[in-house]
Amino acid sequence: MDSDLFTYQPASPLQASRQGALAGTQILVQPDLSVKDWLTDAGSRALAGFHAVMDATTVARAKTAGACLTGSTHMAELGLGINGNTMAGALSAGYGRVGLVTDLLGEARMSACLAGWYGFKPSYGLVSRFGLVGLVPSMECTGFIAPNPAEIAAALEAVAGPDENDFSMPAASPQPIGPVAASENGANRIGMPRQIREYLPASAIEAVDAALGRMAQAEFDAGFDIQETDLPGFDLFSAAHQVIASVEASSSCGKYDGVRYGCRAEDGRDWNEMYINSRSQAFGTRIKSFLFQGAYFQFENYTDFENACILRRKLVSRLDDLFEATPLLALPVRLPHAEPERAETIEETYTAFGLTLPANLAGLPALCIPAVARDGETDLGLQLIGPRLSDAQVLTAGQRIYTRIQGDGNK
Amino acid sequence: MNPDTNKYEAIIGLEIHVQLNAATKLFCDCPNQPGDAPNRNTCPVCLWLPGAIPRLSGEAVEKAVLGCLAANCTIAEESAFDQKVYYYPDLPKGFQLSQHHKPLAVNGWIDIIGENGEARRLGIHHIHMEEDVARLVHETEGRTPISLVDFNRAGAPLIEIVTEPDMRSPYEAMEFLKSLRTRLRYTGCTECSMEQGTMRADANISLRPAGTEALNTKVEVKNMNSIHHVGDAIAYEILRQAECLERKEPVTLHTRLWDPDKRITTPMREKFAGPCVPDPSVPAIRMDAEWLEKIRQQLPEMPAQKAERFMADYGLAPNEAHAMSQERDMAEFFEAAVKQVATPHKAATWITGHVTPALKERGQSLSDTCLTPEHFAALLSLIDQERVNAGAAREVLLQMLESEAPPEEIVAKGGYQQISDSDRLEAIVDGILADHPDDVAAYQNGNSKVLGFFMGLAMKASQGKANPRRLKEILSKRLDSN
Repeated sequence: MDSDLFTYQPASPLQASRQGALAGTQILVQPDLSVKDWLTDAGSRALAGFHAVMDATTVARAKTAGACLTGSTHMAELGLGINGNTMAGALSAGYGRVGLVTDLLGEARMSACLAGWYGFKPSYGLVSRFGLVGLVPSMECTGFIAPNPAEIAAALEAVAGPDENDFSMPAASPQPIGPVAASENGANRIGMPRQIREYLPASAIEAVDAALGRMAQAEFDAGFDIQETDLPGFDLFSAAHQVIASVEASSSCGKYDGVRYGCRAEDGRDWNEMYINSRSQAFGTRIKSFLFQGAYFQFENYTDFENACILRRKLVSRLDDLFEATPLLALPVRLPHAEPERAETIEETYTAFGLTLPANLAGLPALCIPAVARDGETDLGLQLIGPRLSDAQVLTAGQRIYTRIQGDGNK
Repeated sequence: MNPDTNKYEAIIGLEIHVQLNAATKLFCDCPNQPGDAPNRNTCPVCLWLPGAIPRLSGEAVEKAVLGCLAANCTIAEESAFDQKVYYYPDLPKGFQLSQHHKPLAVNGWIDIIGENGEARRLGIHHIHMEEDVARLVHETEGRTPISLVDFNRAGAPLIEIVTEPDMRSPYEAMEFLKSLRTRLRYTGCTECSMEQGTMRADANISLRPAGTEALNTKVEVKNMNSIHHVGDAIAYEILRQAECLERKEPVTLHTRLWDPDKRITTPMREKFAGPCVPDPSVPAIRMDAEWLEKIRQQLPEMPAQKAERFMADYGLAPNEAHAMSQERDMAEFFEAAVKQVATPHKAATWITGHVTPALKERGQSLSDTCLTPEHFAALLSLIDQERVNAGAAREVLLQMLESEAPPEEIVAKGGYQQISDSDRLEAIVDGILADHPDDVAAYQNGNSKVLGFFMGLAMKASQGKANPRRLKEILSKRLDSN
């Protein structure tokens, strides 16, 4: 096992079927997605030694579709950020074709962006969370990293759809993802929120404008109609996300007491001290401060939590209004100076993911397109975001751009 | 010190947990059988292993709604589960799923007859669903105290009924619980037994000077495992708080435990009030009007209505009608027997006097026995026709609990037929009188009690089968003519 990259690597790749839509596709997971009998520690000492007792629905469906599971890669503790993630490295080293990365702040898109891959976060509720060792149930879902949108769509198609083990998914089956067309007629309007400009230095704005400008030109098939749109209060997404996510994380982590699995403190005069000592030894500093924050809102300032929930609903409906005019939104994945892979504190983490987390707060599908918006050496990544359950349209638009870029490369 | 409790008015509210008898737990398919061998009925959801997601049981919601309707509540159009956060070994996931912000039902009531004989309507603030927690078993291993956790009960479906602070005496609290229990049992959604732990009641009690309106600091009392204990614990707590007030000591908000042996309450902890956060994984329950109407149709006639009808239709006395309507199975048995031409009064008397005590002694319910309303009515007819006497009929009834044979057959096989034949009875009487000349003399000297003595002997000689009316006639005639 390559322990620099892998948390768990089976002796031979796990393949249940040789037939199906994903036949032979090598898939990498992270150790927060249950694969029966695999070490599933979600990157935390709190789950040290925990082996999954069942397959996650996504894993079971990928296996049925013929996929081949090659291992699970290191991840940031409990999936908050990408500090310590090795997924992109393992994909680049050829260990897998598609990576499944839990996306709660933008982890799948950011990992992809940093490594020059396509990264996708599906609509909330499209992919089952059963078997996902989650941290923030209302924001997170399994994301995908792959060389192109079509392969993401194929993997999504195989694992998406209602699951009797996850009642929080919409009961009505969303429209099938379907094969993503390489080229499709009809202009798509793409809106770019002008508020984003406040976050970016001049060089980055130029890079994004240039990328969007090219997409508007005829060379991208029928071309996209790029418009500037208005999304006031953009910074509120981050505030609302942080308050709600920290509260949900505090509840999710309540079960990590070190009694049945994970790190268990040896000292302690009674059960209460044992819990406290185990938890203080098990969690890293970043998760601890996140949990403290959540506990603060739970126990001391519930009103602010309620306000954050109200704010979230308002922001979601503001985005819905925006989609009435422009069916897709575009914005960069990352800020040029942030270093998400090195973010230590909650503040650094939230700053680094400020442009990706709105899709998590609102449960929207979002695709990271690499290598179209470069600010000097930095690939800012371009996100396409669509309305809830418009995953097929987002991936189709992405595939058009991908095809065009490939064409450019071949010239 | 013996304070004058009449100076104070007691304000009492109850919080009652009732275990629903749904087949599965609230959020998984594990059997809802907490009494099975420890940790037998568990799965990743109720053990709350990483990656598990709760799946709300439709049957539990249905039974909970039935219970709410029986308590005259309005069912909320939308209700939702919250995470009630606290850390204790019986709840290893760190929160209990409960409906705090949006309960299943609100604004119910239970009618009782108060101590002065007048009707009282006692309000229910709301009823919410929640999951039970694991059971802790405290033991010792050698000299080391150990605590074990049994997850069979973890996730069992409960409803919690929270009353308004409408009760003013231990009596009212007890009457409330009795009526609530009867009504809930009628719906078939719960066994509802405090003794067996399927109904648990906590009481909140505060005092105020009689004639004032303010609500003072309340004290919560737990650990009562019968309705009588609830009454006793409240009575004790009223006395204790009155003493505090007389001594001018402040009453503080806390929880006390009822000690059934010492018959006192002792302080346990500060009253717990943790945060309740909406759960993101369990979808809200949105009530469909058509579905709700279907559930409402399942609601049986309630005991109070039934008692009224039994008085009107069958001419039962109020106490008989009350007794016949307390348990749904018995009420339906009674009515079915009456429809088989049994005399209502006689059927009620036999049920109260013989059927119920026999079941109680055997620890059974009607459905555990072979007794049918048809056979029961047939037995009462045999008595009416003087084909079997009351004493023998009691024997036959006991056999009917275990036999599917009709009473006629049991009577014939066991030789329980009543002896009404004059020749046989006269022979018995003559034999006894001949054996007891002294007692015959005593009777003739005016000691009429001897008649009872002779009746007993004669009945015994007939192996209990003599027609008592005929026997008495013959005995009196013989004694008087001697």
